[in-house]
Amino acid sequence: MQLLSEVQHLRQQVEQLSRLNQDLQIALSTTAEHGDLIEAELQLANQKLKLEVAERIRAEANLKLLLEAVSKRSDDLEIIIQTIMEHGDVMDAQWDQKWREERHLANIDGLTQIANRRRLDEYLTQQWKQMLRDRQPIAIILCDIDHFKQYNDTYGHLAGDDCLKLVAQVIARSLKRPSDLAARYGGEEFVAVLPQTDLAGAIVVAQQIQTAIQQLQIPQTQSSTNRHITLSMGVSSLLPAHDLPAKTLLDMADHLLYMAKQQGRDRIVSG
Amino acid sequence: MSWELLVLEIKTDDYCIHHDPASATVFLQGFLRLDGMEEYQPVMDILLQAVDETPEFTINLRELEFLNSSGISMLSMFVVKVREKGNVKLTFQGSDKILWQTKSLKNLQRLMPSLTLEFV
Repeated sequence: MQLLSEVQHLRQQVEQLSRLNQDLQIALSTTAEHGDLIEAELQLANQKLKLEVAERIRAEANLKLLLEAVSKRSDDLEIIIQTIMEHGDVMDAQWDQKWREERHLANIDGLTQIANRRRLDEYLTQQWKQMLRDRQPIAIILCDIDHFKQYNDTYGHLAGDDCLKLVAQVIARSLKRPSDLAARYGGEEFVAVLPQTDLAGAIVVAQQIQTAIQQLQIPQTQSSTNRHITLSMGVSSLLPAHDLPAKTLLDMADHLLYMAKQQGRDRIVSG
Repeated sequence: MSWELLVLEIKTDDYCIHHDPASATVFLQGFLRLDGMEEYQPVMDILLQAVDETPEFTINLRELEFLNSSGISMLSMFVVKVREKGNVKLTFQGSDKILWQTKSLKNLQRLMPSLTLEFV
């Protein structure tokens, strides 16, 4: 009887244990399944995160490229603007230089490289007005190379050109003040414009020119006057007046030069 | 093979633009003072068309005495385009007797450091 009750008790214990075992197994599998689920979820989240990070890195790289492109473009534009600006300035300087050269050429006698007739007329008119305002006399010396036609015929035109150049240089060098101007009047005629100069002063300059020409000793064997190149000169000086044009001074000098020629050349006639 | 008409030369009293394919050189000569970028487009077209044909390309400016601001702007844009292509060796031939070339061409080199400048 006692044995029977013990077996009964043991059976109950086995059943209890087997139930417990079942419960535990259920709990275990539930826990495992739950773990799997969470793990799967975590993996999914992780993958999503990785994708997002990759996407972000890519976007950042794109942004960097874009930024570089924009910054390169901005650098380019900055250089281009500077280039255009500096180019404008240098072009301006170049035009100015060209204009000065043209103006210089327009005022210079090509052969003798002293002022030409155009510049002479302009300068004489300008100085005439200035002397009128300053109540100062202005003088001119009109020079003509004696027997230049014969010189050309004897020595040829090239020698004639050289002679003109030498005479022009002598006249230009004889004028010392910045406001004095030596010009080629035409052919073998030259003019010295001397502002602020009276007749006596102008005669001194004319004599200096005459001496310097003598010192040149340019041979002129055909000359009836001399064995060397000489000049005839008409020297005039005036105090400008309102009713007198600048040309009056030139006309006077021209007349005096004619007289010098009449009187035998190689001389200075003043008035 | 393109059927477009290839313009090799533009010539007026003031200036001349001439493409010599044999030497892969475009010559710009005279006084280039066109009004704005639009008027420069035909010149740009000649340059772009010429640079497409060759890996080494030369622009000869030795007889280009004057170039206005739109002109230098066009050359700047051209240099940038050539730089972006990346595979063209570009040379500018200039004259050191022409003031603007001695100044402005150096600036173009800043846009494209591999640009070669040859002065005579």
